[in-house]
Amino acid sequence: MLKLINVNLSRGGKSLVNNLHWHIAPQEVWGLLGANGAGKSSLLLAMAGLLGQIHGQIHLHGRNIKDYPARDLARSIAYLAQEQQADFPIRVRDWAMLSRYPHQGLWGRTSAQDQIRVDHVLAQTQLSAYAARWMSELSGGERQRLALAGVLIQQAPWMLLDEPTNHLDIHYQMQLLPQLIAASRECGGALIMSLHDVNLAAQFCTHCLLILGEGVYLAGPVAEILTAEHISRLYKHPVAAWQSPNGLVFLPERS
Amino acid sequence: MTPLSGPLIFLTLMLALASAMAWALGAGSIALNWGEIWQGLWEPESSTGLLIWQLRIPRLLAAACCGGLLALAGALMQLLLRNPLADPAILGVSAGASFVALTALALGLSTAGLAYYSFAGAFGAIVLVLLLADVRRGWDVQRVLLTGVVVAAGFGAGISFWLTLSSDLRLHSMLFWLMGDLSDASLPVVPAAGLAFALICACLLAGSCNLLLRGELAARALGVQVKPLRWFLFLAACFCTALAVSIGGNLGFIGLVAPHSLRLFGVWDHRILLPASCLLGAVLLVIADTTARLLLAPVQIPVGVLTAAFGVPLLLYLLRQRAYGGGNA
Repeated sequence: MLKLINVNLSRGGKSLVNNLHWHIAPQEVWGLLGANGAGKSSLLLAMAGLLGQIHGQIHLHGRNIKDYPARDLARSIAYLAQEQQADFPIRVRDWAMLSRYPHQGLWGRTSAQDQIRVDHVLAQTQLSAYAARWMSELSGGERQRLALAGVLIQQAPWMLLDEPTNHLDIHYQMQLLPQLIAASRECGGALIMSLHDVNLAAQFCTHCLLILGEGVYLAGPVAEILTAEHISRLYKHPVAAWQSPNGLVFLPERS
Repeated sequence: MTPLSGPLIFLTLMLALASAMAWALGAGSIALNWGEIWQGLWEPESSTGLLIWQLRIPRLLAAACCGGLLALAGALMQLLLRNPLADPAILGVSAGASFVALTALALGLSTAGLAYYSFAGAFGAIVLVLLLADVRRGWDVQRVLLTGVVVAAGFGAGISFWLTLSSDLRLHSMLFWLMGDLSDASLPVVPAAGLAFALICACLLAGSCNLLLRGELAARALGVQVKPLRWFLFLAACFCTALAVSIGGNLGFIGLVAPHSLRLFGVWDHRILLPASCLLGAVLLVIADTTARLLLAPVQIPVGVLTAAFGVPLLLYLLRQRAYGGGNA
């Protein structure tokens, strides 16, 4: 159980979320929606224990995440940043192997299990053919696929993903999101992701948290939260909802 | 990489270092063959023995140690500043050392204390950069980098000032020092101990260093304590640079060329990269220094001229390689 208790986030004197009480139970898939600069990324950073000072408490299994040793936390929580860095020459498989760090000793000796995990995930995400390539040779989308593979390789049950569908085309969105969700569920955790695409949230999430601005938020099951009215209010733009054969679809009106 | 490649790299580099050292022992204004070297090594009191023990061994060990220090400093600095083109001199450490050393020369202080002055200058520059970059407010790589560059430029002005004011006689030793020179080097006991210490610490932390390749945020998310690691990288890089400058003055390019050559051979893993850089830096500087002794003998040219002469084309070549995103076509 991941619990946020009375969390307040602000940036530059502007309040992003006030008194956020948020309980995330295992097996859930949460979509984090909000306008640009609403604080989606900050909230994910805070939940991953990567934001220096926060008001309020974040507990994982009843223990404040600040009290976890860094490696222990990294075995429980995986965090995916919006952009991936690779300023130095490194090959794809070696880069992926770094995701095993929380499971290794301080010196980072790779075990046979690490090797198996990396090769398995690279195959599962159709990246095996890229294993020997340099990171600098990958396109933005390929890099994002590798980053998501990294989350799977890390094998942490709780996944915090900042815009996991960045740079991904539809095929890989539909392929990778279910894999991530299945992996987090299998390990007894939950997946929380910030998304720009309401329709992806409608399709994959069980719950949504909308950050409406000025500290106000709305959280709950998708059926209650994802309505045309809420979405219009969220983006300050009229949005209509349609029932399609593949589920509810939101379409913005042309201004 | 296959597990074999680590030992293979070390073996190759060790052999290269041994050959370079053997060459450096034999070559010079008085050329020695194997027999003479062997004899000289066992008879330190003979004239050959004196030449080997008093002149060539201190100098080649100084070159090896200085090269190792610069290469290690370069590798650490590049990781710290997330900039593949960072070299040991980039944060103004060498410039601070040069300024203080030149001040001492200009004031006519004894050259015997030059190593201490330059070390003090390097240390002063580190403190200055830390204060001016206001690291207590938070570590900002860009701010530290730019502050270092600006501080280096400031010391550069001071250096030019001393050069303009100095007599011809002093100017010569100043210029040699600025370009990097090992001709007055003595047995590098303290720097060697410093290098061993820094290298052992660096190797112990090398596993965590690897994670920094994915950026600081990703490293933290994977459980690396980035803050203390960053301090280690900074202090170790500056410490190594200060020691290197105290031996050989302002030697450029070793700190860039050694780590980058290895990276392009596919060595990304700092557990291999850091010690291997040290070895390669040592090899390169021993070769460069011996060449500097021989090239225009009996005139000795500062070894810094040679490291630049080799370093520039090599670095340009390396930057065109695929791993750096160059030559993608």
